[in-house]
Amino acid sequence: MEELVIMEQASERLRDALKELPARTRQVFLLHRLEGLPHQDVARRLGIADHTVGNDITAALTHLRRALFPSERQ
Amino acid sequence: MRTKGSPDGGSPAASRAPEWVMRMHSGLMSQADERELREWLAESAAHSRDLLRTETVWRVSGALAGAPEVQAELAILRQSPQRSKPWATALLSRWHIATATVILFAASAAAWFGVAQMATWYETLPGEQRIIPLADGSIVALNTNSRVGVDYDADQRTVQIERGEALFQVAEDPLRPFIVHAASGYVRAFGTRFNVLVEDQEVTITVLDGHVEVAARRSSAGPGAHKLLDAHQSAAYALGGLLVEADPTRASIDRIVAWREGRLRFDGWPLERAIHEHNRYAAKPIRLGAAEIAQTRISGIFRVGDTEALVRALSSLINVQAIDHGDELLLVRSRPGAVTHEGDSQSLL
Repeated sequence: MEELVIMEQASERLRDALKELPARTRQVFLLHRLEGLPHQDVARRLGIADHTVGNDITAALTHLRRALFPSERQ
Repeated sequence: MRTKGSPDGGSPAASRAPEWVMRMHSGLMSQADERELREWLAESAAHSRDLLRTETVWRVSGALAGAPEVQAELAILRQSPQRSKPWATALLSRWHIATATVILFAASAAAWFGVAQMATWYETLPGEQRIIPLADGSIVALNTNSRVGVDYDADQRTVQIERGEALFQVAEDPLRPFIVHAASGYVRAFGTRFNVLVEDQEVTITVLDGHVEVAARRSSAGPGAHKLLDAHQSAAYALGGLLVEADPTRASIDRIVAWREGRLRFDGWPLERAIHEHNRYAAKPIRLGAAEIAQTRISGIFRVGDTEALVRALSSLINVQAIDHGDELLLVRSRPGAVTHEGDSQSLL
């Protein structure tokens, strides 16, 4: 089962992929995903626009997803 | 709102799924957004798969909290001065109904990944009922005061009933058995509709359509047992792996059909059983303070939670009255020894 094999090394790949993100994108993602801060609070904290938070989270998910599912790289 | 480009400088993301997942977890989805998401999902099966995979990424990324370098970075971020709101208020993620199906699929991928949480749990409070559509087209109707966990993976569809009652309508999938675990046994469905009730450490299974296999596990108290049930058959097992005869009121198909419509239905039930059934849904339980009429048979149909209607019907027919004790209603005889005798059958409606 192909997907299962992929998942087995997922943890390491996810950590590596996170390191590859630009610093602000990573900070936005961590504050929202792991600290549970709403977009607005993340924006205020980092001094950026609300919509930038959304864009950064989207960008982070896109990148992490490539790391988890490399076979679908377009 | 489009994603500008991937952070690694590659081509812009072809998929809209990351943006949707971001929005789903933002707590900022409007009803119009949800409609748009549904339309996008309906456009192609690839979109569902896409969203599912990205949702998986979201879920498993929670495990990053355990990585030392992430903890270090978060510690620094926490020290920065401007703390505008208590963080705790944001800790509960706001799931949207539209995403529930997607999340179920993602749960299984998260299980492969080794994230502790295997299943998605659903719960109802006393008096509450809930319909849960599952990713494969199966449907779980959850009755009052119940809790079930759902865990789908590529090989198996697993449901765990922790307490209460659920009616399952199972989509056929010969390659992925649908198995409901309850207490010390399980029920395996073969494209079917069946009800499982966990009550007083006894599990009662009633089949409405199709057939199921009931298995009570071996234990120190018994050797375990298997039984095949066809439509309109029922069985029960108790802790200790024994198949026992199902209580007819628990196994009643009429009762099951009624609860799905938000009604209580008693057909010649002993009064104590009817009261017990009422109490499953009630904010304020009724306690029978007159043991001599516990076995009096009653029949009737009531809206669940309509304690008043039940008490009114009972008091008009079997000479009882309810005394409000604040946290419960005590049902006592108004004129001891009058009219009704044990074994009498009373029709309330």
